[in-house]
Amino acid sequence: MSGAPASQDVAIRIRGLCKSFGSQQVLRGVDLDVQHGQVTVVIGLSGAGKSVLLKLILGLLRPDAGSVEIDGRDILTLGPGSMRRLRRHFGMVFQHGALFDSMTLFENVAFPLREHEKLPEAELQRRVEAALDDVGLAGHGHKLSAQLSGGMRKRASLARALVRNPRFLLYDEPTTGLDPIRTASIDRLISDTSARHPEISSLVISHDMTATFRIADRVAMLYEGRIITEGTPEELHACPDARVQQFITGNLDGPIST
Amino acid sequence: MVARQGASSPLPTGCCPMSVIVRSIEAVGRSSRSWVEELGRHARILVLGLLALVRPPLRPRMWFKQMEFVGVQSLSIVIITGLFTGAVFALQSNVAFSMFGAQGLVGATVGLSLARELAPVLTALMVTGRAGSSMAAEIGTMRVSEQIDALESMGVEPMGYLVAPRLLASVIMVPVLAMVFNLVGIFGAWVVGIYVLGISEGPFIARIEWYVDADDITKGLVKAAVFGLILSTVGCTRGFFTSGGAEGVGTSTTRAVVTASVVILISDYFLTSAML
Repeated sequence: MSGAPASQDVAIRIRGLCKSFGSQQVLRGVDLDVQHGQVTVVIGLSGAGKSVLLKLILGLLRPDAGSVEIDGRDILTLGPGSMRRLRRHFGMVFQHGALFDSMTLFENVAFPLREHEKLPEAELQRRVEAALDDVGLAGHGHKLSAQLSGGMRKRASLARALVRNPRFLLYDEPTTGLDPIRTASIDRLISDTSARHPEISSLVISHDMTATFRIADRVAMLYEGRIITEGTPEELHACPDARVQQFITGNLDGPIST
Repeated sequence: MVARQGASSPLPTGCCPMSVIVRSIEAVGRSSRSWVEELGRHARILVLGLLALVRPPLRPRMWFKQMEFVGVQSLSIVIITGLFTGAVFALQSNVAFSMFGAQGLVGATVGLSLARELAPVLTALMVTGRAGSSMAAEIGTMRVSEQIDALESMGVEPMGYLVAPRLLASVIMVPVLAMVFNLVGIFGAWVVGIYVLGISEGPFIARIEWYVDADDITKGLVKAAVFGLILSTVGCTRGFFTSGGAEGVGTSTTRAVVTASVVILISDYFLTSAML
């Protein structure tokens, strides 16, 4: 819809990305730019390959074709060690939190710090408590992940992702399965995080349109393995593509078969 | 119906001998490919896990935690199994030796059998049931709940964090447990031999000292270390390649126990042949 951004503004540049599992072709040539300091939301039907896209960006899966550039570096040319080092600049908020069962909430958030930064215990405690406070979980650090509600797990996952001051934040369906109030609270948290940390470039995977319009600077729609539209939320509203309009409004009648 | 079958496969269909042969070859091919894939997965986990043991960051805390889990927490089950294995073996061998008045050999027979065979194999099977299954279940749950993806997304190598400590702990602790099995097994045989069967204590002990030497015990412990490597490799591999939610975790756990047990018993024959 709008013109391509200048290359120096692009944090993550994806071109011609293809991925198949067996005979099922999930991505058929995805082109997408995530701009520095912005929240880009990729919307699409369930099972459209949105989560696969995140795993390809993180290098957890290898694409069949195409490229993923992070700040101008093609991750497909990186060795395992360089890829691991690059991942340390990412924070990932998983759909169900993916907190470590055997650890308390505090230990979960402290985990990336203990792994990658040799901090004095007092400094580590201060950083973890600040991250928990940022997501509204101050005072819950002693709880095990099984004792947390769905919304708290997502917040905890965000705290863990934020604690090392990442440059890129990836959210995998951050509001799925939450009630409207908690959805709004997670949306506010994403927006606040983005406002507090303008250096972070965020990519959110979602099929929740209300949440998308609350948090997005830019929106792209993934359909049948390709990005069929990309632009600001206002541009998405005005998009003439019937598939986009059907998805936004949730109509059963339209070109997208149910 | 014939047309649909024909559409799904370009090969001959129906009941003619040719089609039966073709289908049989296809089935053998599929099964062989699946076996080779499984073998490749296990080899990959084994090699990458062992490499991770010498590649920084080393994780001694994780190693000791796993040693505590595989070794210390398996101690009670190994003691009970060893005690009663020694005791029942003394009873059974007494039946045979009493036929020609050689009950004094009961202790030596039990000692030799434990050191060379029973202790390493039964210890490995017990640890497979307790710790090998747990490795598959824990790593499998981490796989299906995206915890392994979370590790990788944070730049943490799962081989070093999850697999290497389990391999190391099993290779070290299964021989230690096998030694415990030896000792309590002989104690069980001693109790039954002396107090139930009325065998003289002197010949009982002397024959053990005479017939069981350090070489028998060492070979048994080497076997135990190999079995430890097998059960941990199978447990970690089954867990690592789990898919399909809770049902997948259950399947992986069961298959880990069955596969490791069978491989331990088969490899026992070849190890024994090589060490004789």
